[in-house]
Amino acid sequence: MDRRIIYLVFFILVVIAHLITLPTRVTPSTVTKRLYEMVESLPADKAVLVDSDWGAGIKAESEGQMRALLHHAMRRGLKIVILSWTHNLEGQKFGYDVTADVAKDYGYRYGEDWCVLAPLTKASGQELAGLAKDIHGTLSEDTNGVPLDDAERLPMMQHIRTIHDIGLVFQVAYGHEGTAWLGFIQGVYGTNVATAVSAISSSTAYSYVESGQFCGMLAGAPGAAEYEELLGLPKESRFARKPVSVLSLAIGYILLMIVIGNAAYWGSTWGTKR
Amino acid sequence: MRRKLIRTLTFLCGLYFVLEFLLPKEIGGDFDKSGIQSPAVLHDAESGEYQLYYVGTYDRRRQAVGLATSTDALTWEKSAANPVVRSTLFGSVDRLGFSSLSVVRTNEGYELYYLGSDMDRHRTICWASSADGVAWEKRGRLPFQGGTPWRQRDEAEQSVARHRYTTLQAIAAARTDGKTSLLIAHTNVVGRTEVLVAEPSDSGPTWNVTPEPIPLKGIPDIEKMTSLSYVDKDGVPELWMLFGNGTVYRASLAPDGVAEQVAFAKRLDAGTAAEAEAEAEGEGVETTDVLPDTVNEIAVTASDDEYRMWYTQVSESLEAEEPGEKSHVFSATSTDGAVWYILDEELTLPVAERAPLFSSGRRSQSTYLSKGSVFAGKFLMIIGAFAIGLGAVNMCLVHGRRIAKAQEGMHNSAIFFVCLVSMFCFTMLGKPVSDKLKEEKVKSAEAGAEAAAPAGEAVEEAGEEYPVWRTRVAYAYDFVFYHVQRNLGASVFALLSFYMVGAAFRSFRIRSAEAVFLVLSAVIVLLGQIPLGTAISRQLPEKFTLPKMSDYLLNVFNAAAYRGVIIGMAMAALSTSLRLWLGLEKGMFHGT
Repeated sequence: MDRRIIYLVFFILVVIAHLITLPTRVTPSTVTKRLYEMVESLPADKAVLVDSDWGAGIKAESEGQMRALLHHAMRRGLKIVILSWTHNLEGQKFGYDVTADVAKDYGYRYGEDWCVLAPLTKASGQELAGLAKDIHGTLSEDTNGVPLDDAERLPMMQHIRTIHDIGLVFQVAYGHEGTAWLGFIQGVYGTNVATAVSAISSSTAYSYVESGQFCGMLAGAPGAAEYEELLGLPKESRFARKPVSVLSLAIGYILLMIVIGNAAYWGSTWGTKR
Repeated sequence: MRRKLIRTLTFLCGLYFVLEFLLPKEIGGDFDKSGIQSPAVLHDAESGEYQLYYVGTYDRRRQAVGLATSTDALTWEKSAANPVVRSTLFGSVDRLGFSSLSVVRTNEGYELYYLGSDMDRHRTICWASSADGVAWEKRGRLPFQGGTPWRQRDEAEQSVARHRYTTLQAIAAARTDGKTSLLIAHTNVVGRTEVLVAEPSDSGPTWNVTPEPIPLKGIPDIEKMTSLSYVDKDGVPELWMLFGNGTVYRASLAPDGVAEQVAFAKRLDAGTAAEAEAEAEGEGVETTDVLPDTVNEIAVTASDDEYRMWYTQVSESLEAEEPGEKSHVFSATSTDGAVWYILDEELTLPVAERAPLFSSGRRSQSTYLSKGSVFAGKFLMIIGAFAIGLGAVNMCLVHGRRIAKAQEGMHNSAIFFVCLVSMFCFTMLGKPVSDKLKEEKVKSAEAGAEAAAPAGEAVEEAGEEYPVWRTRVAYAYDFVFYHVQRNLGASVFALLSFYMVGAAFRSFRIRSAEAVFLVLSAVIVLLGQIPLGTAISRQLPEKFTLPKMSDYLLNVFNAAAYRGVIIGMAMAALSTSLRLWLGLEKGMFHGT
């Protein structure tokens, strides 16, 4: 079969999936339920640190994951701190936009209930060791250049100074980049660390969830849809519905291609033998 | 000489990082240094002694139960035997900690009931017994006959996959007519909290749970109960419930009893309920309907003339040598149970006058090596920034040389310079203005939500702070980011899906027996992740549904294989790092 036909049919299917939303009825997986339960059990005086290390390439998966967790954290009234990296400023911009959008639903105010820190430079994980000891010393200002010690404009940060004030670190990234958080934060301080990765990269993170190092995981858009299911969000707030709908058709098509490819292979093998 | 110096410096830096990582960051501190919560109080009417059991937190992985005693409910002394109950390290139901403590006095001594959290954070009802209230023997999970209603419902939820995940919320032990019974709060299948009663069976060591919940009239549809307490006040059993929004309800368990919400008023000293009430009446204090949101659990006791409520709260430390925030135990009093007199942070009393009963323990001390980690982190970040700069310079040299020599592909190099320079200018000039506009937009939206202020006004005002050309550059910066970089990034990733479809057709062939397993696994995992998998396997037994099988494959087979890979990689990385650290790897010092 000409590969151009395969690509064309795939393209048409994805376009159709964008126009109609298939009914999404997902079963929450163990790893998603673990994360839900962890957020549910967080003390009210601890903040959630969201490591926003994603970009446009995985927006379809990461945005839904981040929104789902933010909904839960804001529903519980937890403070939110967004962390980003100098090597991926997309993560900062998207993190800011998504949090500002979800914050509107819950009346969250910037500086009082959520804030975005200035980007951090990666340094083999040692930057996390510094951050754990002294957030204000390692990152002196927020994304708008306001000093973290400014009690008037960033009152929430006056109570968030070390890793002991953080109840959960939630990393949103393409791949499994969370081992630095495990090595320098979870392993040392016992802080809860969870990850949200693209579905294609999730297989490498399962072993860390199973060992209890990651307290939970959202695997791709289905993970976000599962979390939305657990939260019981209204349909209009379910961001992951559309990506999962597209994913369903795409996976169905991939499975069909596997079947057709094998049928063709075995047909030709059988013909050759005869 | 220079090489030796570099090697020595590398060794010393490596030594610091290795020791800093391996050695504890903090040493010492009491078992309850990080917080105290979940109070449970026994009051002996004859001797007048109070025994307060609480959960002390050392760190996020270690909790234990402590005991404090008092004769007047104001001056407390922590037991020298603390912690009196510890979590069990391996494979236990309380590995991650305790919550919802409840203590009763029996003919044989004491019984402690609690919710233990295992490594998966599943909560289980556990118990322990003691002859003197100090030396406890843990008895593990409370055995229920025929399973537990909350577990059965939880599994039912998973099979229909349409309901939020629920767990046990709180328990309270009650002692009536020489028998212990347990009140268990959980969320039912329609998301509403209900309370079940469990009692020991007559025939054996197991417990039975009543199928029908206790009817609680008068409680609005509040989802989550965080604490439950049982009180026998003058022969009338009462339930005291704290909900997630800080409201406290008292429900009389008399047949026609109706639950009522209680109110809280400022208490001026730490005296009795009657004194507090008289004093408060003189002041004409106002009442509030909720406890501060940092209060997670309460315990209520009753004597002939007053109720007492015990709760823990995080507020400023009263100890000059350990400033910052600490957990404290407070008590509130009431004569009628309807209005409570409470030392509340919201009610503006100075810290010193809030008079907590006792506070969380002595903190740990940072080690000298650990204190240097902030500096070390900053130092490495600077090195990292230099590396990025070095990369940019290198790129410029390579592409500049190509243009200078008019080599093949020089037009690509020219595009590189155009992008580099334009993005540099847009970012330097446009980003500060763009960030400022965005900040004002967010503030404007927040103000609009509060006071219906005209949206966009603040943005326009902020825009006036800058010259017009700066705002245009800011819009250009946003355009380049949102309409060029974002779309290009998404497009590159989108191409991957086409390759995957092509690979599925051309390469995923069953050529051997092993390939059969590979294809089967792939099909199960792919279908298990999408709603179609749930739909086509719904009629199968729970364990054989596609999502469950996919979960099993990923969590067991996949995790085991990946762990093997990771261990191999770690061994190789360790040996290479050791060679570098000890100066045995000479290549990097000789240059290439």
